[in-house]
Amino acid sequence: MKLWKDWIDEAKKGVINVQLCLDCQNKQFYPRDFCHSCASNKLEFTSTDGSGVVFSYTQVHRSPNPDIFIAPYFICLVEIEENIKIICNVIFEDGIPEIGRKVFFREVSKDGVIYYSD
Amino acid sequence: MNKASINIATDITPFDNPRSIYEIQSEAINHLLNSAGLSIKDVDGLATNGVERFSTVGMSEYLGITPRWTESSFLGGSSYLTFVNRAVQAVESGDCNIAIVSYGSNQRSSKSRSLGGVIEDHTPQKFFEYSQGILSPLSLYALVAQRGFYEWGINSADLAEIAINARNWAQLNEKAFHYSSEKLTVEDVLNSGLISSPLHKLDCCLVTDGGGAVLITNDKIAEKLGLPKIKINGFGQVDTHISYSQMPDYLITGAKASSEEALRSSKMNFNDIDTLQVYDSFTITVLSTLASIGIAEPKEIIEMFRDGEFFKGGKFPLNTSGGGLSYCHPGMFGLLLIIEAVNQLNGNLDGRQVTDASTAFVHGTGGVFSTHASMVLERIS
Repeated sequence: MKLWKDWIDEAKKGVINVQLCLDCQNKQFYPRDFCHSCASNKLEFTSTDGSGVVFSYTQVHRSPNPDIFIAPYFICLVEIEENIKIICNVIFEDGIPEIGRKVFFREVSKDGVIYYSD
Repeated sequence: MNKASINIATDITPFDNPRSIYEIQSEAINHLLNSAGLSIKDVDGLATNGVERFSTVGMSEYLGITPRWTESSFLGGSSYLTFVNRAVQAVESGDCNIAIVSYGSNQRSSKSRSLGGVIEDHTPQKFFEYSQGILSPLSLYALVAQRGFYEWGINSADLAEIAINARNWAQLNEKAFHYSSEKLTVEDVLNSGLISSPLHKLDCCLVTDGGGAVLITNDKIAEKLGLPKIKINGFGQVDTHISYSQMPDYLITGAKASSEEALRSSKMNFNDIDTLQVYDSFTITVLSTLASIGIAEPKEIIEMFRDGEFFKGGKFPLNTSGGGLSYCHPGMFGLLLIIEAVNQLNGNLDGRQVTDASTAFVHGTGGVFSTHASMVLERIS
């Protein structure tokens, strides 16, 4: 779990990472202690450019935790590297979501919510 | 090696009389054994889960049995297809002779289900995904549906046809939650309120109590008792992911691989199948599964719904109980899919009986399109 906390700490500093395998160059997310592709344990964080593309979206109308999430809000699968997706909140400035739209990392809240926006 | 078969099955929908998980299961099991001419003491194999941490042990103690064979893998909605397949293998190998696969849940009356899902603090799902405000499993199915709208050119009115078909079947099943409800319209579904867009309340399965049991014995016992024999002609299973971010393909799911394996080993194709029982946690689950197993392209499948091909008298009578959408959904619906298939093949059903049904294809989905099990069943006597 240390790797996961490290990943969030980096995001809180403004950097969205994926893991790079130093032996086979495979990239993966979420962080693990070995490479999915070649089982090497020589992995390091490598930063994305902070952008991503909306792969799909859903607008949640019933918050599971109203203290943190005020419905309605958008949750997206955002592709941050080829074939690597993360689940995050996305603020669409015009309120209209769109698959394929380019979005940019904004912040991680104190509750650990990852925000992107267009 | 012994030969084994699935014999009979019973379902319980205790909507008006809430009771405990143990009571739902024991009622189903005792009813089943009475019908078969067996006693609880004859049972030497048990598969169940979701009862408690020691599910098979706790249920066995309640029943007063000490089985030689048990199975309790946790695979969500596909668990019970896996259990029935393993129970047949266990009887064939002699690990047990008379196995029960049973399930019960009182999730509605006990209010044990929450929209946010079951959260385990040590998991990657909690760390990276539940922390983002997802409704689980609903939001993943919603993300798949929205992607499907984009790639397949379908819409919410199309998905509504799946809920309508389920309601039509439920009105032929007096045990169904929606037996006496009004016929559904597309507008009813679209006006039922978005929960996680594009899925509305009526795109989602019910939350009900319920359960049931299936009997698996070796053929000598079945013949002695005069029980019907249903064979598993083919079985396939694949489990692909549990985190939303790790799903290998968001539209064509693990159902493709599991169904191909089940059909290959059965040496059958869908033209040989008399009824389909396919997990319907959400309308999109059905469309994605039917597309993944190769029934047709998604848009054609929707047209087939409109044309009644999945209703009584159609080419593929589907979810003839009314399914999780309109009959009952006590959490892990997989066993209820098998029970409906067994009862169809045994010819036990009145208004919804598929004429001369002798083969069924059953598909279970669990988690967030995570676990997939397919089986081909055939009644041989």
